Amino acid sequence: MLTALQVAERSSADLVQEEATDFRVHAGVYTGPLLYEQEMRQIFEKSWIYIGHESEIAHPGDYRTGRIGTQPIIIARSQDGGINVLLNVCRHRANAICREERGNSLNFRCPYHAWVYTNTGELIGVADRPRYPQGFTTEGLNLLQAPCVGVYRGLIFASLSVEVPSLEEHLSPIKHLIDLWADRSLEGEHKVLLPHKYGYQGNWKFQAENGVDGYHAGFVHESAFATFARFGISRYTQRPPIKRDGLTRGFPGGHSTLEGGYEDGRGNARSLPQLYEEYMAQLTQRHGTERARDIVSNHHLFIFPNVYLFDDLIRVIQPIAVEETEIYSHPFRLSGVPDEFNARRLYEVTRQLSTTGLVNPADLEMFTANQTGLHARQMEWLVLSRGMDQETVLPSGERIGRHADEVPQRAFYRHWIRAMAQNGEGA
Amino acid sequence: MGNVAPLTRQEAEDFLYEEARLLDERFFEAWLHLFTAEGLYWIPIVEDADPTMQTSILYDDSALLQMRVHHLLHERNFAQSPPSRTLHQISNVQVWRGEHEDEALVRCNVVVHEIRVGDHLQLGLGQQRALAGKCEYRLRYQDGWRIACKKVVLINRHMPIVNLSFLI
Repeated sequence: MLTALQVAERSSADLVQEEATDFRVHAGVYTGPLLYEQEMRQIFEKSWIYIGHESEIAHPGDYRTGRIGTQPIIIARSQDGGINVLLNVCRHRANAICREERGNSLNFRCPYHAWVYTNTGELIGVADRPRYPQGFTTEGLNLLQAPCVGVYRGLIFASLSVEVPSLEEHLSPIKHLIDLWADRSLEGEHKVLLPHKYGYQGNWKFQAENGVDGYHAGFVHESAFATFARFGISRYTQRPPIKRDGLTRGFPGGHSTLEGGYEDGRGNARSLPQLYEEYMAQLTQRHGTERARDIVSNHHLFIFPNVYLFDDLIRVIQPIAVEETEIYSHPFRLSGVPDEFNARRLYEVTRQLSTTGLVNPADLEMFTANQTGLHARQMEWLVLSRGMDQETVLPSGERIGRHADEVPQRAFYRHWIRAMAQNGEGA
Repeated sequence: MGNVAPLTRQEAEDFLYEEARLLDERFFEAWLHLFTAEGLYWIPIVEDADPTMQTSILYDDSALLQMRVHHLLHERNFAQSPPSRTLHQISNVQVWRGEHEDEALVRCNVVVHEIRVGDHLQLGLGQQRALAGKCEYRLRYQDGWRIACKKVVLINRHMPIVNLSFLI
């Protein structure tokens, strides 16, 4: 077994072994504190990172604090409607200037020595300024900002490095899938609600792997599915442990999907047949029968490296430390549908995937048990070869496998190697 | 209805202590019977938000409460394997009359100590924690006092909470 230092000194490419029909990831990928630091710098500070949804800062002055990797940020909506991604640090002596998670303010006043900044980051006030030496200038002391900010279908992404492809290019392999997700709303974009927040004592990549893992569901969630079936929730009554329909996709760029098909579609209040029929009629009118059906089918879309779009929520992965992760899982309301429809969707997602959901906590238990297992240092290589010899490879590089294949996880690590090796200025 | 004697604090305390005992001794099905047929159990994030409009940590109607208890007792509920041991401490009990004479409003504070033991050196196990909050009960007299709505306002409701798969 390698020491943490040896893991860090190894090229990240050596931590992933790919042969024609064999794919393995080294345990050090999940356990090395130095490697984790590299991930924060190489991946989280040099890639497009999902940081929030437009509806969370709908009005001028609205802000929300957050993180890019482990760096504290403020996402602020300015008077002109623009979005500024500010680093939450005073340029004087590095105090965090904003201590709240959400609010509305046109200015941020550092609590330490009362330097004041606009919500576009401009320094507009230095307390007792005359005492600074002659020639002292505040030029260059505006708040630091993420140089790249982009929005697609309400999803806000930012990069701390300028050396990234355009957001359009980053999302291009999965743009059509984001569109399917966003088109669930009948008018405009979704309204994102407060998140269910939970966490686990384990590496962030366990969640990155698991939301698109079809292999585990019938086993880890056996108790939940059996409960749903017993209480007459129809789509669980005939469910085999391994789904034979549905599929997985992996994309260059590390993105992926798990697609369960129409029957598994969530977040559409199908349990209220009349409302569902009205909704489908409107979707069909806008998009045609086939696309409407696709829109309400089940998709878990992973956008590398830190966010999932599910049928009924946005799930954000927040690394805290090598063995600690937080998850913020935001239900959202569809626009253009009755309140009763959204209320039902909220009820169902809370039942399944909330902090207290019948489905979700078992996944977190697996991640923690996974991290515990890796304390057995002789366990060196984790196996991700499932379905590898039978996947379909398209000219674009997209790969398609069965629902319970490890296509998404392989796509993740293929891109992970590239991202870890990328050059360019980090933050 | 007619002729329901107002709930006294002594009776309210007895009721809450009994509920705590049922939860801590894992008599979950008996606990379910404390609720009215339309009983609600709610753990909000925003204290006074409309739970049909804003996210809640938990918002169970009677159907979901029954599912939750069934699931809690399922042998392959891995989030509860090993199961949580809990100890509910109730204090600061206050009682008001409800709008009708068969209704009462009870408030109390609760601290729930919880631990999952098993192979305690494993991550996620062997860690004792405490969840604190205030509870608001709307009780209704139906052949004895029953819970029409139990609302638990946790002080850490805006924080990540790990494995909240037991009952508060």
